Amino acid sequence: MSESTEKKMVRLRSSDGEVFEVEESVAKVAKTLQDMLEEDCADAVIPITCVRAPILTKVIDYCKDQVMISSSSSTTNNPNERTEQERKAWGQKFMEGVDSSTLCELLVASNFLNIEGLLNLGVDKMVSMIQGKYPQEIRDMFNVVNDFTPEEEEEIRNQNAWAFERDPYYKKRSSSK
Amino acid sequence: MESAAFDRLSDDMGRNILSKLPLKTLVRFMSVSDRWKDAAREIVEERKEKMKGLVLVNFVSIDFPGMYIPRYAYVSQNSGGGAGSDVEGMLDLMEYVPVKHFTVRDVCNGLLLCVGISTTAVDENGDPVANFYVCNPVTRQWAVLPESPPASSRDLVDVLAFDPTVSHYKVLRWYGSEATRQGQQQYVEADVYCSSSGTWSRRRVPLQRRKKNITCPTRTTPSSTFLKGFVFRLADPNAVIAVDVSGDRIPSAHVIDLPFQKNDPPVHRCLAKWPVESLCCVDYNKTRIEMWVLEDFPAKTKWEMKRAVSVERLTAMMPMASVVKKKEKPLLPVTMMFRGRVRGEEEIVVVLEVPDGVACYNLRTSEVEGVYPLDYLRRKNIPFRDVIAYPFYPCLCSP
Repeated sequence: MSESTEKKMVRLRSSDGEVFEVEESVAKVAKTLQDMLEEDCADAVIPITCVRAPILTKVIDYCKDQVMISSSSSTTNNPNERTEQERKAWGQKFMEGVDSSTLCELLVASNFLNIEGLLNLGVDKMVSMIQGKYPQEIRDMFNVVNDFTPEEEEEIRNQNAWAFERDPYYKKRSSSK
Repeated sequence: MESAAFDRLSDDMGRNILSKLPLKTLVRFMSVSDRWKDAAREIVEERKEKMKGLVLVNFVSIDFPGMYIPRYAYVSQNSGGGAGSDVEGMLDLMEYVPVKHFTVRDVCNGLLLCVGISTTAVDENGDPVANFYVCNPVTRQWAVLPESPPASSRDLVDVLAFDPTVSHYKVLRWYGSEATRQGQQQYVEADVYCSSSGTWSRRRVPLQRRKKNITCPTRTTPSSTFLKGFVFRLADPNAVIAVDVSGDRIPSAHVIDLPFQKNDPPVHRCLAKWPVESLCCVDYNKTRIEMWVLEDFPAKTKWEMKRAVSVERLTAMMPMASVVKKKEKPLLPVTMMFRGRVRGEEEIVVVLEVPDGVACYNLRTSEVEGVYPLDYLRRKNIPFRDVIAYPFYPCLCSP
């Protein structure tokens, strides 16, 4: 697995200027970084322009864990190899307490860095947060601005009345003003 | 940085998330913001595509004296099979139609014709009212039909004739044997509801030619189908009656002879659609299942046998063969499903009733695709008597 005892380190700089030093193998979990490193176009510090430090910390945590699993998977009877169930539980724990705006940033980061596993975890978390919510709850959760006119919104609701029944958050904007 | 976190996501990612949401949330998402409206709508459309290949199976069991409570199952190439009342989008009519009980009476081009007992409306005696409902399970839109005239006989079939290109539909309550004979002239009698006029009317349509002892007995198999503006119904002995329902009037009823000789009642027979727009009579005669096809009706009235499958061979292919052989009513064909083309060849699946559920036999590959045992029914200890199956071709038309 490792031909040299000296582990090669890579430095990453977040959008807000913080520099993280990680092992090359950890950075390579991100396909985007792997490509850069293999083509040798990575300089001393790789700028990750669209990811803030707290998000990058979380991403690196994820990558470290992946390296820990895969480093021992080449040997037989790997004690670190997880069953489907364990993987699920781990993923849930990893995403525990992540709020909606962090989650969105995490999704953008894992998309940019091309980390499929993390992206899937984020999507699943997102789906569980949105499921069963009413439009206003979704807007509040993600700071989405309602850019419909009251008439437009009314129309969509009327066309699909079954989906909006007993919506406790809905007030006709025209009548509330 | 703080604003519109969700809007930072790329279109692809947004779609990825939306595609995993349940239908109801997805429809709500259409009114969250303009940016996501079309994406959400597109996925609703895709969901519709997925419902393709679904066969709605009506298991008639007797839960209450004198009343059938059907159970529903689905058999689809996308999601396998199952049965129960908890299949998303498909079988939860009661979630959005205000009925206590309902039975599906017919399925046509994406719409269901149901009879439901209203949760709110009552008659002058305070009894709940039963009405016809026409529903679209993809969009969950529904319409209730005005009260139908009192049935002149219990011997009837209810048929939904919906042509998506015209987007109006008709409902026929087609009476059976007694009504077809009146002196020298033979008639077909039906109450017809027309969605464009919103009214019911009783029609009596003369048969185009006489046929001795012709009757339309009520069967437990799908004995009617709608295509090319005609409603077809199986008749005895060995005939099909066709009425043209495309116009305001029903001009006359065609009598089409089936290519069978004997006058005995058939062992088991059903009508289905054969691609493209042809009528198929699936006939089970203990040794073989034969598919007879009538193309280009009404210009032609000649049947051609397209396929035949030996019952013995079919039984041997069944994974539950031992179970099947023990019963005396094995492998009855109940409907047929057209799934599109594979390498230029039509993919047609015959749905068979087997003692524990339903099975699908693929005519193109000549293989049994799957046997769907009805665990739900077994678990709840619900015996079922008859299986009535309808292929479901989803659409977004509103009733």
